[in-house]
Amino acid sequence: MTMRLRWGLLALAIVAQLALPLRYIWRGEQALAQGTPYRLATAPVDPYDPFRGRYVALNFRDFPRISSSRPGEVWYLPIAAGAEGYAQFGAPSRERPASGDYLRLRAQWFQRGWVPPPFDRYYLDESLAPQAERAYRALSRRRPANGEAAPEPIRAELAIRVRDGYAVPEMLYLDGLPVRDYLAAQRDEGSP
Amino acid sequence: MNEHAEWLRAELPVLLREGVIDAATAERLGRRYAVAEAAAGAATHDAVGVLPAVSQPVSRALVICAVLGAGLIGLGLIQIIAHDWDQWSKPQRLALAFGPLLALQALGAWVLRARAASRAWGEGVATALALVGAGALALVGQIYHFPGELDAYALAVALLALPLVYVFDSAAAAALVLLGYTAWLLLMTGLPWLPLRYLALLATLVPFSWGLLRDGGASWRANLLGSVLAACLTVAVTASSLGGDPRLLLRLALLASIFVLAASARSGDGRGPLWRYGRHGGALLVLAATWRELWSVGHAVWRPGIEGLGLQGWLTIEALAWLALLVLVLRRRQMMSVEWWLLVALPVAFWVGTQVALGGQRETAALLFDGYALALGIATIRSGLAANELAALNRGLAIVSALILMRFFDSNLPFLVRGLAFIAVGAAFLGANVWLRRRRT
Repeated sequence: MTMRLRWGLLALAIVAQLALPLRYIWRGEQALAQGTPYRLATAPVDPYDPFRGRYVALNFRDFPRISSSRPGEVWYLPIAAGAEGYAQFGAPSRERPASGDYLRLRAQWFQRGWVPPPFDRYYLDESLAPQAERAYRALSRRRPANGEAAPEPIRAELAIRVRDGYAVPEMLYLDGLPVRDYLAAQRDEGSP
Repeated sequence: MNEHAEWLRAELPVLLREGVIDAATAERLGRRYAVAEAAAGAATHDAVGVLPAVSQPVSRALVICAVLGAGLIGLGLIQIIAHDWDQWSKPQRLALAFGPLLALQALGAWVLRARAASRAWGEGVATALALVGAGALALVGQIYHFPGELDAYALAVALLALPLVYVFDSAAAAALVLLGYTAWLLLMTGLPWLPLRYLALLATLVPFSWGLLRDGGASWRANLLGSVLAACLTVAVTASSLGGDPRLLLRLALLASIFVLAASARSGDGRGPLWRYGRHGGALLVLAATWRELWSVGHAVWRPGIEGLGLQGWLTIEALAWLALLVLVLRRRQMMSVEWWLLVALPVAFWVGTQVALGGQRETAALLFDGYALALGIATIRSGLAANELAALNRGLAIVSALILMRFFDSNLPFLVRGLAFIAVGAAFLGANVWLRRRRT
């Protein structure tokens, strides 16, 4: 291989190694700056999720369960703001919606049988993630006291921004506070 | 002679910089004249005076250290940066994610300019760039809370590292690319035409592998890539085959036999990773096939991963490849050992076994392989004795011992009898080794 060709390949490798993460950054920043905001009420997570660690694993109450038989299969899920800004989902489809916001979803092998949401984790500092996850689970599981029939209040929710099918988690809220503020308040109160 | 070699040593970097010769040619010339000088009793240096070109094992150790050291430093930097992530703003995190990557890319450009013929530098920087590039992508994913799409990540990381294989002539980077492709295959099981897509990915490494074999087929770099390739192919065949169907065994038998034939076609002397994989893999398969339960055909499920061509289609392709290699080797009219023939004939034995098992005769299929394993063990012992080779003798003894021990575990004999049998087998093992060592001395 000539030196000229090697220099050309090195330039290609450098450009590709920078371009791919920059593309993700651009898309994320565009979604955060110009995307439509939505909120999703969270649900408890399987405690045996093997990928816990430096992030809070997320699950959602009202996210539709979409069956898929093949990994890599792409689905489109219309999304619109419902009551109090919480997301409402339309019927999933293999075709991109002609108008309105939507989420682009992809079936994956280890979740064979259904298509997961495109935001299944919220990364935190390794020292905060375990506390946040405990709080998240406790608040996602809360039931009305004394056998009341009232609907379960939402105390843990994820704010996202959606643009061109791409969704970026903006903030995880616990009891109405951003997660870091919630944990700081818990520490100040001396809670475990 | 030394005066001319000195001149050449000074000229090689210039010729390389000007593109008159490529790095591989420079290295070959440097090695050629370094060997000649060593024979004349002079101190030697390699083509560009970067490393003291002593013996092959020391150079190999240096390259391995360079690769591991560079990779670990790169990953360690990322771990340290990510430790106290929360204290940093987003622009700061992004800057720190890209910092090591940019620094290594600059180092890579310097290596290509000033150290192009150095194996240690090339392997080290290629490996570090591949790993740190993967780390930077992961950190960006963390900053924006990407979902865990491991398959897309594995494929992206492998494809980003692919140019580095050719730029730096790096076998270590090629091994990482191969592992990335195989991880993607495992995560995408169920995707239509998956085996063909995997083969298309493997094809991106063919020019590099061809160059590696041509320039130094017995080198440790070729062995490294060969070992990783053999392991990845075995995983790929297993992942893409039916579950609970004995035809998986037939595919694995074909693969082991193809490794043996490919090794024989290349070198004919039974060396290299393909030969080792074929030999060991074949022996393990034969021993596994002596276990009755392995031939159970109760719950075969057609997995969508091999749609399109189908299992029969893939078996046909693999069988044709086996046949083509067999013809190629036989045309050389070389005398092959009984051990070799038994390994090459594995697919035939497994085809017979599969037909017998599919006909409901599991016990008969397993019994067939009891005989096959015994024959393979004895043939390997004979090869070892004929060549005065302790390793082959022990391999043969291990096959026979494993067979005996497996049958004892299957049976309902009392513990005392089993214990005595194990002692007898162990004693035979030790005795044979002592006898052969004495015979050699």
